[in-house]
Amino acid sequence: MTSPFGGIVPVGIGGIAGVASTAATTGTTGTQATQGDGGFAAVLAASFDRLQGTQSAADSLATQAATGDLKDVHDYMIASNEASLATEMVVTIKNKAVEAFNEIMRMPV
Amino acid sequence: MAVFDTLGISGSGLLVHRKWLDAVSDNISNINTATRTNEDAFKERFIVARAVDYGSGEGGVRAARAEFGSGQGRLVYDPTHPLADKDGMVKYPDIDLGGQMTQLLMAQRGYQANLAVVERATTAYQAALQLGRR
Amino acid sequence: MIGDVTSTALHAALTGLAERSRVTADNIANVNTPGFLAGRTDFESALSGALSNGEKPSISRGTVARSLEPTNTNGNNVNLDSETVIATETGLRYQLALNALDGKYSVLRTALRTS
Repeated sequence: MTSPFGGIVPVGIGGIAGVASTAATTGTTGTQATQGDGGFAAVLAASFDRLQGTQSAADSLATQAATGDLKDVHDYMIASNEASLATEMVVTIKNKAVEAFNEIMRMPV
Repeated sequence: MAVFDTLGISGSGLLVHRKWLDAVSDNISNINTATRTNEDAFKERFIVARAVDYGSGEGGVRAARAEFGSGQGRLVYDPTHPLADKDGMVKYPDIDLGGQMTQLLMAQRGYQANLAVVERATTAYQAALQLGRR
Repeated sequence: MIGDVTSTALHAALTGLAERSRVTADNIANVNTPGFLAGRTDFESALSGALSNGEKPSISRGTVARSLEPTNTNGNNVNLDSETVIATETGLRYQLALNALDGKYSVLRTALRTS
């Protein structure tokens, strides 16, 4: 089974720092700032897509479990855990991004 | 579900072994049933077990039918018996008690083995339900 | 999210399985009652029917019917081995449905966290 989180690099402060440093300087670094935003936004968008997929897979397996048509119980348990972990990952990224944004807004210009 | 297939298969095993136990207990309780010489003796009861869908993986066992042993029995000289004929002979069933006790042990072992499978499958299933719990 | 088809289906399954557990206990208690016919419940037909039509399933205890399997000499047709297996299976499916519902609620809670 392939790792469900392949392709998503946990976003550390490094990514946010890139945005922060370009925002601090003025004028000529406009394009660099866009690149930094694109990198982080792409990661977040990929996380959302994956999240939607895992949640609907877990839902359909849960429905099968309810009607008694579920062939293997571990299929449902794995899908449910993947959905839960994917949700936690997206929420953590969102919270960290909000925190970082607030930090930046607090910085004296 | 995969575990519930296991439960169904073990359930069929429990059923057949219980029928076997019933047949053996019936044989043993009738081991001294006397009949007249012109009638059949008590016939030993066998259960014929057949695999359900042999080799396809659906699995399980069923008791296809009951077979009966020969009614010949053995003749015993007992002129005081109420069912004795003019020669004083009475017919008793030709059932070997030792054989029946062996079958009893085998049936009981088979029953317990199937019960153990049910318990193991239940434990495995409950372990799967714990996946991801902290 | 809250009250969606999956949660309602799981709720319906829990209600149906609880009823099945009761009927099975009734059968086992009456294993030696003369003339007693084993009870069988069915909630899966109504549930799958509603789900395949795309409707929200209704929460019901399912239908209870008397089994028409052959009886023994005193008119009782309860098979202790079948009832034991049904009881085990019902218990496991109940745990699974609870687990599934719990999983859904915890995902919602995670999404609502702000730190």
